[in-house]
Amino acid sequence: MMRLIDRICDLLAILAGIYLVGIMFGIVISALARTLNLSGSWSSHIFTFTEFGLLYIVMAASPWLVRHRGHVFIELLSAALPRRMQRSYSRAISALCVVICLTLVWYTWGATARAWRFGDAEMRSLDMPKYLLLGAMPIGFGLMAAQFLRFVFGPVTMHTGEAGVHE
Amino acid sequence: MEWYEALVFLLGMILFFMALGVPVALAFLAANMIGAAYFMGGRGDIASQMARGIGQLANNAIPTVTSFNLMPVPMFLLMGEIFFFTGLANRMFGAVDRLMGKLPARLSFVTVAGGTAFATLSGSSMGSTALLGSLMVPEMQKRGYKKHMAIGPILGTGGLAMLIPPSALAVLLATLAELDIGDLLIAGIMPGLMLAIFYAVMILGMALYDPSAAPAYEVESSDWVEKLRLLFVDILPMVSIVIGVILVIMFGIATPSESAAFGCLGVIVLAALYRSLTWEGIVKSVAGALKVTTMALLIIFGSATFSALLAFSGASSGLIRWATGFDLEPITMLLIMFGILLVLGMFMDQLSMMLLTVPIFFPLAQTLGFDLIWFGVIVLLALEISFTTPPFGLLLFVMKGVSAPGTSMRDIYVSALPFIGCSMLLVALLIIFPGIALWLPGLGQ
Amino acid sequence: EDRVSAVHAFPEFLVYTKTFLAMVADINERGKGIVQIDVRGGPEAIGMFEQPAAVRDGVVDMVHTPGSFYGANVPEIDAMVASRVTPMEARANGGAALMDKAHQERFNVRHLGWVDGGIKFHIYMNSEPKFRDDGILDLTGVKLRDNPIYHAFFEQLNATTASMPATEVYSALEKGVVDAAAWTEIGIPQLKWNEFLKYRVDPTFYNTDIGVIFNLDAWNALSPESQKLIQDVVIEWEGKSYADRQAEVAADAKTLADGGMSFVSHSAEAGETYRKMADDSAWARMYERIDGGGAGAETYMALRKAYALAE
Ligand code: NA
Ligand code: NA
Repeated sequence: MMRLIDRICDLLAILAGIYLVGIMFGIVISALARTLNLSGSWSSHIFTFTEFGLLYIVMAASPWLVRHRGHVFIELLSAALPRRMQRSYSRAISALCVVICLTLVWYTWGATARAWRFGDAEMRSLDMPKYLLLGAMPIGFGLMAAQFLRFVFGPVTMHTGEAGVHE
Repeated sequence: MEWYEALVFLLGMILFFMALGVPVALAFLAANMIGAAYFMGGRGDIASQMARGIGQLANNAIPTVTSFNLMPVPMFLLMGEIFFFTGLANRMFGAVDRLMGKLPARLSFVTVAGGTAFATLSGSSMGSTALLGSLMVPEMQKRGYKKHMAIGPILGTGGLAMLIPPSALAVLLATLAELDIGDLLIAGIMPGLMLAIFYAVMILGMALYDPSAAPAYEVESSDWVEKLRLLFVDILPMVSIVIGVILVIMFGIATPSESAAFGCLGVIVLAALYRSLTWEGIVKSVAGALKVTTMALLIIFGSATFSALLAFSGASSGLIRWATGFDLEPITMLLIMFGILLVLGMFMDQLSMMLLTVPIFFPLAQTLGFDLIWFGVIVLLALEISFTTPPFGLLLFVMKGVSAPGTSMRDIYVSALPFIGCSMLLVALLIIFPGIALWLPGLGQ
Repeated sequence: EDRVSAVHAFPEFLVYTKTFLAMVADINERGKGIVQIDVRGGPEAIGMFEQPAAVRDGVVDMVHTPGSFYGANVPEIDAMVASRVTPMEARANGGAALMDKAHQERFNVRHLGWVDGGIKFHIYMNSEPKFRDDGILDLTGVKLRDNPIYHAFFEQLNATTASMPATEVYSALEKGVVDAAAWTEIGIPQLKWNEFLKYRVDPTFYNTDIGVIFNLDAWNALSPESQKLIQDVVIEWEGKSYADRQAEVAADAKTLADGGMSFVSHSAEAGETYRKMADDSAWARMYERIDGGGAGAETYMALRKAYALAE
């Protein structure tokens, strides 16, 4: 099960990376098109989707980043505790992260459903249904919760507890 | 809830979660969920308040994260990572090493010079820090520089981007405060350059005080033919990318935010010309840029709503009105306003701070008889400093993301301090000699 | 005494926000012991594009915002955008009541009034405008800062449209990334865009559609005295703010002219065609969104009758 989730997270991270490179080309192309007076609706849509891409990238790559401990945190209490308590403390904090993520899943899902019900749209160069943007959140936070579970039950803990204020 | 209770409640929550060791982004989100349910929950029972408040949090994140103003962050990160992983950076700094000979801490100076040059083309402090961080830190650590000699100058020069034009933040401040945009932009030039000089002097001081911080490793000396070769083959092509990006802006082909993508593409083309573009290098570069981008954007996701909560609850406006309500000497009032910006800056983003403080500070500054352009420069400096003040300074987290594993947050906080000191010194000088800011705009009149 | 929470879409330095704050002060003054409005802030408190959904969902009770920000939810807003009548005329002829009804049905809010009305838009350019054979503005080869509200109109003028955040427009005009922008009759001197934009194309097109909307459940919970007071004051300010803004339109036009901006006009006949092209694109958008040929036909025709040029 965890293997499957990991593969999903990897795949999402790869897609996020591709989107990132796509943004680079998109910006260059639309700027050149504007300079050459070739731009129109299509280049405005490129602009819009480079903006939306930032949200999709952060939601798609965050679970992968949890696994690689890439989200910055401050080791204060975890390092101050006696060594034998550190591992259980770190597991407890990881469990707290699971709770935070699951709460976010619940309420961002609610926000997605409400946006869908009212037909909310993000009005940029085109009317983007808002549920397509909000919907990335419950998925992203849900997979993040799954990845934090690894630090609750798995062999490796999130905090190292090594240096004073660490990581 | 009174404003000071709301302030203590909100700041207390975020500090609590951060101290527990919850990742910074999640600490913000956790504090936001509780705060949003309380302040933005509207009427009704607790369940509907939670749904409303936290739903608002999710909606607030969309315009904040999906903003083109953030685009320099991922693009400059990608540019820096490609520079590094294709070996172009190594080539360039190897050549710089041999050209600059025995000057101690030369790469720190290169950082300041590069950062200043970069500030002139970029309006984004985060983008500038992302590029210099991902480019310089690995090279400097490889050459045995102590962490603070690498991190400090980058954090310092990152802030220059919003002082030296073009600066999106300066344009915004001038618009909000109804100042002459051109005057404020020009007024930032001299203080920006002075700050760069302060940084250089401080690095020299640090290198002389602790020579081991920037090791004086041996470099082969080379004759002038070799030096010319190094200059033309290993340095000028890389520098031409930066010049190219400036030209793309000057000729109106791209906006400052778009220019980063051109720089990115330029580095890829250059790497291909040097035959150092590998599939592995590209994958590593994209993965590296993706990591820091995601980390920083998730923090922005969380912190945006936190800023909104401070505003909506009346906590920040209460603080501002209370502190500016005293009837004191102009200089004391100036220091109070500066202090408020520093305190808010620890927890809020720059745009929200401007929206909150400008309507109160600028009329007050006018009644106190201050020159508003001069005051605007001081506000910009305060905003610049707030990017690097712990616990919450976005540049610090970007820096953490691009540094080698084993670099602690404390290392980064400590490295930032001397450079914050330089900015404070500049503020003091501006108060004593307002001409530093006002001389250049005065010439145009 | 009823308590009402409110936010406004724009920063405090803009005249629209000043109108709103003065209106709130008026309500609070006359509403002592009846109702008090507590302004919680502007875009720094709730993001400007998120405010309409926030008042609908009951996060706040009252919001001062352009209707276009939630045009996808209440397409009827475009009637104000393309309006040829003043807010006062729309109230007298039943248009305002239709607008309120659409808001209640689609968005769970009341539309209390259309404030700071009567401000229209111009296209401003950095080079002399060219005209087609039929006398209509020709924007071929002109790079124009894009906006979803007028995109369809700009395409008809054959402009090269370019999207960018409002914060970048100043430097984009300076460097020639864009050569032109559309903006309201007032506000250009504040943004300093007239440092680069030297031509104004006449006549105007469209209207600002800034309104005050109020959560329906919160409204129904108010006492009848509070409801009456708030509604009456907003209606008073519809007229008052209209007159105030007309004075500013004249003042800003003088500032621009004194600063060397040239006002280039269509011929009377071509100018009317130009305005109609703009109006038609807004009406067409509404027609499509509310199914003006089917279920929305009645609303569409009624709104046209109230807001559009008499046909
Ligand atoms: Na700059
Ligand atoms: Na800060």
